Amino acid sequence: MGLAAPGREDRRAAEAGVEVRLDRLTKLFGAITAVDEISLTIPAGSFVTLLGPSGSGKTTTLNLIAGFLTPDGGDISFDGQAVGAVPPHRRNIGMVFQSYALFPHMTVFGNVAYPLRMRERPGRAHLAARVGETLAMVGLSGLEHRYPRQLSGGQQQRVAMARALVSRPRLLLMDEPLGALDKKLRERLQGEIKQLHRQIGSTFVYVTHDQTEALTMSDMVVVMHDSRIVQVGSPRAVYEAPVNAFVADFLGGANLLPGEVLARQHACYAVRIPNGEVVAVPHLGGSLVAGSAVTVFVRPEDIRIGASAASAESQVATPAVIREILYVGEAFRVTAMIGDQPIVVRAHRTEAQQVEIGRTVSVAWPTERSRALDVTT
Amino acid sequence: MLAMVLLAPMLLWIVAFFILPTALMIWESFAERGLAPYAAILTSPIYRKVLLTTLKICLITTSGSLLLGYPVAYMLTTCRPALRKLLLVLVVLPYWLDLIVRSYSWMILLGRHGLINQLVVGLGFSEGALPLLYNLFSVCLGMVQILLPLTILTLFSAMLRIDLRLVDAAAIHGASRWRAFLTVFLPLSLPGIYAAGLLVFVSALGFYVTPALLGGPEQTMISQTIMVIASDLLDWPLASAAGALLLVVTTCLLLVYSRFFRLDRMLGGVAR
Repeated sequence: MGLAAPGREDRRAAEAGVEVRLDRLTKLFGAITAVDEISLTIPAGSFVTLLGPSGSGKTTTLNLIAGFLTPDGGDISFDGQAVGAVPPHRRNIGMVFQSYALFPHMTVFGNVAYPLRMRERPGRAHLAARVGETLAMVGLSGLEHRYPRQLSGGQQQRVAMARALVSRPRLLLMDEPLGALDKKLRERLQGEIKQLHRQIGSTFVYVTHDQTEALTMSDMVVVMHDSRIVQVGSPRAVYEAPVNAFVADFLGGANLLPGEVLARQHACYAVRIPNGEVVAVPHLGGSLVAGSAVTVFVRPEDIRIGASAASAESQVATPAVIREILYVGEAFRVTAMIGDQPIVVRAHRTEAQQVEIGRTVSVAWPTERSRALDVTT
Repeated sequence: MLAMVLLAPMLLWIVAFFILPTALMIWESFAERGLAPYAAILTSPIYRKVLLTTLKICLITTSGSLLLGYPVAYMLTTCRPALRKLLLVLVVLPYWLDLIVRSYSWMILLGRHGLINQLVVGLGFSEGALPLLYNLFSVCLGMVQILLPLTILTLFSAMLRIDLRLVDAAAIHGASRWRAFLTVFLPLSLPGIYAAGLLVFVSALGFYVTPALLGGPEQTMISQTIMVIASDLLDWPLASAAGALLLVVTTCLLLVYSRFFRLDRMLGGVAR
């Protein structure tokens, strides 16, 4: 993607990301609560992803920010100004829609020029320059006179990006913008969108159900479930320190072992896991008492198996029976049984070669990589 | 093969009840006096006037139906599903009333001593009765009323194919509701306008009862003239020639129209 050197105008735009604040925002569709009293502050200029399964309320939240829907409760403000009474066309937002929503009766030029024609009264030369500049930014120069239906999916996506960005909005909303593309193109465009964000400096609010997308692109991930926000944090925080089993599982393969707290010691809980062994799990200030049910969380890539499991220190090590070894290309996916519960290990080639189905081996993980999740949240 | 079998009844129907009678009619027009009936019609100022009147009435009726029908179809497209059901019933309701009954209802409303004139004169808005009946106005009014459901349903089915997210996309990128409509919805609904316009125009060409009941001598339409030639003058070759000419005029209009329509499609003015 060709990047023009940022001019004075660009740098001014970079300071102009808007801070979006949602305060106890609620939306009902008949008897169904689509968004349930969510509060969130999206820092100016940040890249924030609303992540959740379908029906979690993330798209409704986006449509509320855009102004397509009127909230049934709560407030939205941009830089401290309530926007409840401001219609969508005066909110100064750019948006990339899920199916792109390009105007089929307009050329690429017409589509990208549209926001400028509506928002300003640009002269012909100014218009052509701005549209050309923006198309160059998304790597689409030379396609000005094509119609959307004459473009590939990836090109249509870029036109949608260009249209959303051309008037340098302070807020950019993206509703699953890469959902319709194949994996390779998706990964490339993720990088390009991230780059555009750095270049422009507007606030980006991105909706997706793809956790990889959320983790790779965002400054901040907002995990939504059942119309509510479950966790807000950096990609590392939500991936490595999920607040509950839903977040742990939704953000990627998670091992969730049911257990019982036997005691709360100075830094750890002593937890009995399904094979009867007692392991240490950091409590991090948690207040579970002896006898409480708990879910022990640990990522497949944090678990070592076989000979390499024995070596490291400050580890939990416990016996498990190998049930399945799958080759997945860059690694092996080994399933082992801890008591009656399966645990998935992402094993290196050398590790996988040392184990056999049916054998009892040692599995181990660093204590600080595990979490005790309260089953009631 | 199956397609042919399934199509056969319809093809037979068309051949037996449309192509055959049309061919017979055209044959009839030439059989007795050769080209003479055509010469009579083409040289007759009366016939030319009737044809022009017919085209004028059809044009006004089509424009009127589109102007009145478009907002209703737009509303049907954008309103809540529950309201849409109710509105659709209201749109289709007049179909249950007989054509002649509807024309007579207009006579009761518009006549010299009709409801409207009694009100207008009674309330002192006008000295004498307003000329509301037996003129161009009443004919077009009656025809628009009859053709409105067809217009609305044709427009509506075309508008349903427009992705309303496009209107949202226009709004979020700075277009007020009105400008979003003008720049996005209206251009995308053009195919529907063309289709509805064509259907209404062609239907209007054959109108017979409404101009006979609601119009004066000045509003005589081509179908009425053909009827008079056939049943009063009993001049079958002349009536057939008039019918054949109407067919030619209609076909020409259709050809020109479809060409224009396809040209538009080439320019990209069509919804996905």
